[in-house]
Amino acid sequence: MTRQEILATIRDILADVLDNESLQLTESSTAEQVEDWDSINQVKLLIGLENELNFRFSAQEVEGLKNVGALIDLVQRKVSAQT
Amino acid sequence: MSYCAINLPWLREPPADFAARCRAAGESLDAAGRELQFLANSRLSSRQATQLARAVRRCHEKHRDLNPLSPFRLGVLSGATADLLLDDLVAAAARHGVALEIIAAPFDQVVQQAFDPESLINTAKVDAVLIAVDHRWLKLDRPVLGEDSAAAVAQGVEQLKQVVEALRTHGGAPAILQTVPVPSLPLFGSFDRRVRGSMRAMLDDANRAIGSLAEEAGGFLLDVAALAEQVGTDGWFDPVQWAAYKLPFSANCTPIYADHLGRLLGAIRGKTRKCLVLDLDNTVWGGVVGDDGVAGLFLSQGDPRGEAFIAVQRSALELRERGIILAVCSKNDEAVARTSFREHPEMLLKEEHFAAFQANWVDKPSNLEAIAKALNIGLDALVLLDDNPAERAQVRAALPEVAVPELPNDPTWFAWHLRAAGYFEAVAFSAEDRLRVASYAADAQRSAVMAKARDLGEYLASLEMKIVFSPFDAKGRQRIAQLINKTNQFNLTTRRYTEGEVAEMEAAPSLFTMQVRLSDKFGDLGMIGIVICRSSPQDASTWEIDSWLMSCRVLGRKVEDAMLAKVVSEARMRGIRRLLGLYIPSPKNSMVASHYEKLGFHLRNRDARDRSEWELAVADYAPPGLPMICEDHYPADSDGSSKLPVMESAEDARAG
Repeated sequence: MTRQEILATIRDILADVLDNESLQLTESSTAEQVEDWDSINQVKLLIGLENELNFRFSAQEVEGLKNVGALIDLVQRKVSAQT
Repeated sequence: MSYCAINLPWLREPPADFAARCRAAGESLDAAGRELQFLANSRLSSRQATQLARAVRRCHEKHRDLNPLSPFRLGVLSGATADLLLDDLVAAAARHGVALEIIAAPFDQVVQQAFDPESLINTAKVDAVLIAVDHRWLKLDRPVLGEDSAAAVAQGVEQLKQVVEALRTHGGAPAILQTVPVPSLPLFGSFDRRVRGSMRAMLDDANRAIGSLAEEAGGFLLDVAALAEQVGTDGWFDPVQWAAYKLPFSANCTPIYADHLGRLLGAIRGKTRKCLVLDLDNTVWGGVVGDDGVAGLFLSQGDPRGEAFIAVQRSALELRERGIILAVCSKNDEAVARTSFREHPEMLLKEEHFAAFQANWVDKPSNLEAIAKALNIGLDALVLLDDNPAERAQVRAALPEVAVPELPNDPTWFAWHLRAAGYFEAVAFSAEDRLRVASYAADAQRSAVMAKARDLGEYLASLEMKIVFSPFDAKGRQRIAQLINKTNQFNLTTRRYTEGEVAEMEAAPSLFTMQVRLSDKFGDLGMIGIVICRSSPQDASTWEIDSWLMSCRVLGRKVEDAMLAKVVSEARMRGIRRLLGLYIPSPKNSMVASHYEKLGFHLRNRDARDRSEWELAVADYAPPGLPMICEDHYPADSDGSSKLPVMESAEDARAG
């Protein structure tokens, strides 16, 4: 998966979770900048990614993700570890 | 797909326009409650549960009437992260007839909320408070060896008891308590059961005490331990999601947990279903009694196919024992259906177990309405168990209040689907429950209820049927012979032909033969109809319909109309002016006594033995509108020119 594809996947899941179809997201977006992106919606996003892409995060991996770019890094590692 | 309760396999898939319908129900629709219950009654993804919960919330915000859903305000106290459950809870409650409003306390504030008279939960005027705690909150998350393990159990349960009492005192609401599943972390292995301080032994003790506490405190019990056992505790607990997000159990289990709580809330609001309605052929027994006869049914111990149906019957009887009414709704000849209950030696169900018995050829929605009326209960009190997906779809479309579990192809799982779906959730059980069944049965005994047919045009169109007509051929030969020899009910003349005779018909110039196949969006029904016409020895422009038979599976779908339209069009192309239909009564074919009359034939003659002859002038026939796509494999071009010699008179016929 390319970073662009992962970003699009993250955006789609988060748009559903936040009920905001027009959500705009970039690699530098952080939770603080997006309305309603709280810790619960973060959990929904992470579980949504696991279900969508068929891998499981470990507890350590999901700690301290500083922005969307960092999450893309992590997802890229998980996806490439699968193949 | 193998049976897996976590996927709620008894629910159908949501409609394709689910999201749009949720939005509409949340905004403008009048009958929002009914619509939301219909939408909720499907297998929802977490995203769909959220969409549905939003619609319910919007209706609440606007104080819209959500009838027939009953309102329920539920306080939620949790020792972990409960936020991820809430949307699923609202959706599942709607499925079970409840318009749920949730007042959720912040993370891990159980004791604080209970003891503070001014707390959110105590001031919210809730109808009940769910206390969602597990072994971790009870401090029973590790073995207590060498010390007093009984004291540890007592201490945990005592803390829970104080919370229940405080909520009762300050807020006035009853509690919904949860039993506690046992994580599979063996210490000694099998020996854990015999060590009093093992987690398994302590949690078993705690669960017994929690059950008693619910009863003493006038509260309710959600048996989460049983649910986790059903799912499998290794799939229930998720140590990663606990460590990372403090989820009390795996997010995969949220839908089934929510459904179990929804059932309980529905039961508290009196929404429990009262009556199990059973289809007969291939649901209560294996085979089609009208065709196979009582002796031909699969219903024997020791026979794998028969045991599946014995399990269905036993399930029905067990439910009846606890007060669930039983009824029959089957496309069958009533006398034939009743005979099976009387005469089959291994039949567990008997006629007297049924409070209503609708075996006829009327559509099922009308019969279910008749059953509800006869028993004087609502349609929302009925559950229909039926192996036929088309019948299930028809009932769901016409009567969304009736619960209709999805069933797999393998009948071995029927009883599992029925029992796991939770239609008969109870919060009490009394002696009267058991007596009620007998009184219903007496009331309704033989109350023959006339059911009226309904306009099914829309339903038939929704089936997306395709019908295919072909002359007899070698490929179909075996099945043609089987149908000719097995079909008893929809069979006008009951003439039997061997496979060899069928083979000869394939090339016989004086015969017009037709095999009919039907498929719909639920699948291929295979070959379901046969027609054989013979040129009349007296009049070359007349076809005598030697045989006309159909599988009863496709009754009420206008298949016979389509078959006649095809026969007539082929007759026209071959210069035939007249069709002669014959009805020969048999002990089993009374359902087709007026077959030709219904199709527009005129009675020509009826003899002393009730054989009747019917006539149709090809020129007078106008093909009806048909709810299906028709295809044929006859050697004639679509423009009407035939490869067979066409008599001159055919032109006259077509002109008329």
